[in-house]
Amino acid sequence: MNDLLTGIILAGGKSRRLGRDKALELFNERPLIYSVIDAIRSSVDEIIIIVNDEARKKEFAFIKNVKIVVDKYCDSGSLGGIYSGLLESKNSNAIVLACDMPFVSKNIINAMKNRMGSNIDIVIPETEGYKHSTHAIYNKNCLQAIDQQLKQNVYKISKIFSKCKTIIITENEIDEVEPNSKSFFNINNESDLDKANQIFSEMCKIKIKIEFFGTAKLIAKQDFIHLYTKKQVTETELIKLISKAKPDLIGQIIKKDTNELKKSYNLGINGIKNISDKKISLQQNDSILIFSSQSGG
Amino acid sequence: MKGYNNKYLLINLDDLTFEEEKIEDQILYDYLGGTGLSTYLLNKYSSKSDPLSPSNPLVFCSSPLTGTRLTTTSKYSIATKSPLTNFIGDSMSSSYFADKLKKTGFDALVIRGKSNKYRLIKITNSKVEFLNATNIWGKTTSETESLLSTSLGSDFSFATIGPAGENLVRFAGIKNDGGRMAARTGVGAVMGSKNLKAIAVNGNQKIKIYNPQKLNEIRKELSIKSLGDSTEKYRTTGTTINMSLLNRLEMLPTKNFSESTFKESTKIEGENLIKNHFSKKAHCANCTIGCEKIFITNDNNEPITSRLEFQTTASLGSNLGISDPNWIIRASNLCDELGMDTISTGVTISWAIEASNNGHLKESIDISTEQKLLELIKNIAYRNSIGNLLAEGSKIASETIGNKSYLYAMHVKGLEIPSYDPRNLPALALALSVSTKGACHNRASAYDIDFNNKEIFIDPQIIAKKTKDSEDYSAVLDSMIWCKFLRKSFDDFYYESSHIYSHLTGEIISPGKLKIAGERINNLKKLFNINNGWVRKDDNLPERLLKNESEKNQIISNNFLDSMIDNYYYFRDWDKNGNIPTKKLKQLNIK
Repeated sequence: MNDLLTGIILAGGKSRRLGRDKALELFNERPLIYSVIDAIRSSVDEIIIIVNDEARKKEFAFIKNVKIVVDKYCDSGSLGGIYSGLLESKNSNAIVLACDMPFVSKNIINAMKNRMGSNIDIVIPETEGYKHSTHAIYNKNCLQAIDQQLKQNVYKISKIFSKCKTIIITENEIDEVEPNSKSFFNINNESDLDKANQIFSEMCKIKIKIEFFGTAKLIAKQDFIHLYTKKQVTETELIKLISKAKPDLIGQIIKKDTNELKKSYNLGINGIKNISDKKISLQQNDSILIFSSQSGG
Repeated sequence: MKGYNNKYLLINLDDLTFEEEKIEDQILYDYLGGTGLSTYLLNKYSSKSDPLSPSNPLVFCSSPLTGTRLTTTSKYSIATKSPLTNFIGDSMSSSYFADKLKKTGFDALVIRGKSNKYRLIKITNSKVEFLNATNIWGKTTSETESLLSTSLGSDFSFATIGPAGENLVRFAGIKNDGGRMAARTGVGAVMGSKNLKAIAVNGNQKIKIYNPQKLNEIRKELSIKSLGDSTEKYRTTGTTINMSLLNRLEMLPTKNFSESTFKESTKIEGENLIKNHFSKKAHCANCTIGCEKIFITNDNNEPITSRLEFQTTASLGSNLGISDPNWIIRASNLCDELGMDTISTGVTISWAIEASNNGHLKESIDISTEQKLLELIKNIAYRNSIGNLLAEGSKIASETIGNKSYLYAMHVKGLEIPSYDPRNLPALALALSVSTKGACHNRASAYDIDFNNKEIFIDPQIIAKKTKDSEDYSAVLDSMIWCKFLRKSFDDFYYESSHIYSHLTGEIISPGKLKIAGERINNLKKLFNINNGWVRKDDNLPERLLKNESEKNQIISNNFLDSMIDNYYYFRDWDKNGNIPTKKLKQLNIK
């Protein structure tokens, strides 16, 4: 097969249920569409974003190194987007993804890509009896079937599967590549967004070291402990984690009711560089030092 | 002026005479007390002579706050020309001696001359006696205090030298009230050079207070504040816990500053000392904080106790590659008994080890057993064999043996460097370089600038400005005198101090004027040094601490230090060579 693949991201939706533009909704501090772009960037040599009108095309102009294309079949749902994308695609094969999928998995995309062959038109994953048509690879051979369907105002994507050479990636196959994958998770409403944030914070856990000095060390009865945390934390969140792990520190080192260090203690990342209550970015194996704020002696 | 006695005692040991001298209000107002007033008096009587000659004045000075029972104010300051540096030597100590000295009716003692016999000066309420001290000459500091307490009465407090001061060890200190010592810059050697073994004081005159009721209220408020979070370390563990953090940060002077981490530091860090060697806490007079922690040996030998500070555990520990707390406790106790500064003792010994290992010193320095270490310390105090050379301190000793042994002498202006590695602490590095007394961490407390900000500053201008301000602030602390460990208990230091000063003396001093007093005091100290031959190259750090090309992760280089010093002079309004323009002296009312 031809290894080259185009990425088509469908961003024409109206986001009715969320009430805000899903593609531009902030997730992990960036517009959600970047989660999809980042996930496929290394697997494709071209990215096309499908929008529904010229105004929206301008809104997306800030995204670098992508081609923004207005849907030729506006108001025809995803199928129109797939058609417009394939039409513009420089490669025969294109991975089509919705813009509201925060956890698209590179591993699954690569596994799908490997299943694409010269006589295959569609590679589509299926989980819990549901075929993920906006997380699938389509060949330009599908264009004719789609066009026919659109002209008949039939927008259901699944209708084309029988007309094209379609391969289904089963749940078991997916599990082998990535167990409990969240690759197909998409955001429709506020509660999905909350869930995504929760999944994200769980997925992003990194191992850090908390090192104790002075009274903190004597109370903790340990030089250090290891904790798992998300990458972006506030000092308050960090202290909360530490007090859960070492409740004895509450009172003498950590204030009783608020998750704050007492004035007598400082907190530094990988040294004495103090951190403020702003969000801080942690890396795997970072050290957090808890030491006396009184440096005299 | 209230709060002061408005007079000092001018003592001449040549003929055992004394005079009472008045101090003008303006002088008290300008120099406050403590390190400010003692610098003023030193400057007034200074003769540019050899520090160990009779004419070098030795000034003891209390402060306006001494005797008021405000927390941490039972302190006194000593100023003299230092035999280690040949520049200003100032050192501080605290507890009952300070209060009893002030209550004799004198704010300060200026001691000149040299007695032809060993002497003790006994001062009670405005009464001065010169007693024979032959029977206590040669005694250790605790033996001296004990004998004097028996003969003069336990109401007395004593400032005394040990054998090190008698033998003119250039880093001998002056000890008082059992556990306290004005340790640095060799003030004990100056006292010894005058054949003065001890000063006994027992004053009980009342200190006049302008607004006693208000001061009483302030005293209670301040005592409560002093028990807050800002003194937690000093109250609970003491300073010995600094070691674990500094080692983690690679800022722990190890083996004569050749390394910045000590592999065996956990054995001698404060957390371990507290678990396995803690004996009891101790307080200075009128102190609510009680930072003193007494530690005890736990091996099979006769138990010995010693008050340990971080500086001692590092200078006599990591700096010498020693990891047995029992050795450090005994060595510290021995230095106290002999009356020697533990920092200079440790750093002079570590110099000798390296100088010997590199073939610059013929004698080998062996501290491989505890007995050998203690023997070497005794030899320094009594100037026996190689100890006679080490008693000179690392600067003079390295100049004496010559070659390139100076490369291993870790001092600034002759004063040995305390145990914060300045390579990556730029404000501290600057402060150690420009400090008038040499490598002292306390005259600017600049490590606080490095440690307590969101990040370590690396802009020479910012560092210079902050260090200058911190130095002036410290001069006010040391003149009022407040303990450094109380400093963070103030919400607004200058405002609160000026308020207290006004209620105490009846003279209104604004926070701004107090700040200027700090600046004036530091300028006068500098003027003393200039008059005694200071030149710009004296503001420096040993070559070893300056970055060379291979040390990528180090902030302090020769150029960086120079740039900080240039900026520091700029913010001080000094000229490019670090001299004080006449205009600046006039502006500060320095005559």
